[in-house]
Amino acid sequence: MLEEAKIPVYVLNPRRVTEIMDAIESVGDLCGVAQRARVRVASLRQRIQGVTDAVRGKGKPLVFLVINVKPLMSVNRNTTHHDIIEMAGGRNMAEGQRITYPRLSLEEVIRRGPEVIIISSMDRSGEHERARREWFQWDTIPAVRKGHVYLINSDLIDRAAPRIIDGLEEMAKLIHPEIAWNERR
Amino acid sequence: MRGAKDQIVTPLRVLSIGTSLSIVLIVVALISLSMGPAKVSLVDILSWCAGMGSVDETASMILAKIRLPRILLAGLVGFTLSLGGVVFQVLLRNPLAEPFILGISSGAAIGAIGGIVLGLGFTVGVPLLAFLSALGTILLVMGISSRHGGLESSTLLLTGVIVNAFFTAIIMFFIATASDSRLHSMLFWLYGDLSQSKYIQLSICLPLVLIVSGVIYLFSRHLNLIVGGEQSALHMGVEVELVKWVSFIGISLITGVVVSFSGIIGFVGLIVPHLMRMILGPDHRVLLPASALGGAVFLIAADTVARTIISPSELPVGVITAFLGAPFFIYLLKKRGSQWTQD
Repeated sequence: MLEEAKIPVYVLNPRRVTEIMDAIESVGDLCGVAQRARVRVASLRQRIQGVTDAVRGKGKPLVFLVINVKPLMSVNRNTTHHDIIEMAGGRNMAEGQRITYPRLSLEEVIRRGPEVIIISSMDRSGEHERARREWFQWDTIPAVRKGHVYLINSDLIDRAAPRIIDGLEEMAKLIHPEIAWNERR
Repeated sequence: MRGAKDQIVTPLRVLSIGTSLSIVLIVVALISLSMGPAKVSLVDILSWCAGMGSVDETASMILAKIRLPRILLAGLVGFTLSLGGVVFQVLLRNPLAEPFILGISSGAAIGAIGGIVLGLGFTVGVPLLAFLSALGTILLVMGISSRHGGLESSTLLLTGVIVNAFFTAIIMFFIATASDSRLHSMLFWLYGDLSQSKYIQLSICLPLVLIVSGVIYLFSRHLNLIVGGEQSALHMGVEVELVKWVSFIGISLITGVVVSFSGIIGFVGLIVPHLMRMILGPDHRVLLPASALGGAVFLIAADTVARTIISPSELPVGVITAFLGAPFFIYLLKKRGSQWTQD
């Protein structure tokens, strides 16, 4: 439709974090600020490197990322979220699901026993904090036992933009709290 | 005309049908208990039920806190909707009647969706709002259609249908303007879902359902007479208006309560009463308990399919009730006729 109106259209569909970096550079080129984009992306790539270096050789805990609380929904391997979990040094519990954003039964989560549960929350009302607390009744799940049930601001991991690196760093801190992140800066 | 229908209803017959359906109910519940992503064998289930712990901690938690409350709630919801279906079909003198027809479903849905929009929780806030708005709706419908203290069936039916249509428009407005995250929760509630079943919900529903179904059962002879026509029932000494008011309010109350926890589960209240009528004949002394128990069996079975068929994912149970129920219903309808008209 936009093409019919003679408005130039460029399509970007990045799935991986590295593709997002490339996309930012492409947008920079298209908008005539190639140099600024390249500088920006170089610093983002450095931060990615920082995270992947830090988690290298560490254990890979099983991570359950909750993108919707009711019904319980997660992400499979065809998502940027999956890529972030992997880069942050975790294993995505729902990676093998056929549906991109699969609905999972509570029973399946209990059976799989994730070591970290991260709830992606779209708003700051008490709703998600309540959802977080509700997990604590399922105390055979390792994540619950160790208290590794967290909230993450969904804006940080849902947007294919520079912010996603904030999300990656945040995610890595949640998955690997044992690493002394501040000293690494 | 044919076999079962002509059988004389004796207390013994009521008891034997009740007992056999209860046994079916228990067997179906046990099988359902053994099914799900976590593998637990039927033998382990039986020993677990007997209190001998041969299952591990995780399995025991799954059985006690996820599967059992869910099966019990499914049974109770099926029981209620199906009982409501029988009563509404008689009192509204319409084979298409089901407990939602007077606006309970859309009334409850408005409340639930309002609760979701406001960000209330699914344990108390959403069900409470759903229940209150279901009750408000049914009182509105009954208020509009009552004339000189009497409830006329066709007026009641039409009012229910129109109020349903009006509320559905509001629901569609909310859905069209909902944000992504809320949309999932809304659709989920509208399709019926039992995955959040908890014992607390049972303890709220069970006493109400028991009391109301007891009262309705006392009316079973009256219902038999009302089937033959309200005028003739009146002449035979049935307080038709009293039976109608009490039944409508009682059924609406329990339907509103269960639906506020389960969401809208269609089809159960329509087909199970007809199935039982086809199989056992139209005498309400048999039909009421048989439909209620049959509804429980049917919904437990349907929900078991819903939670296992695409495991580890789940389907809304409303998808299954119609998908499984409709073909079976058509088959019986072809074979036996509706048994609706008193020929």
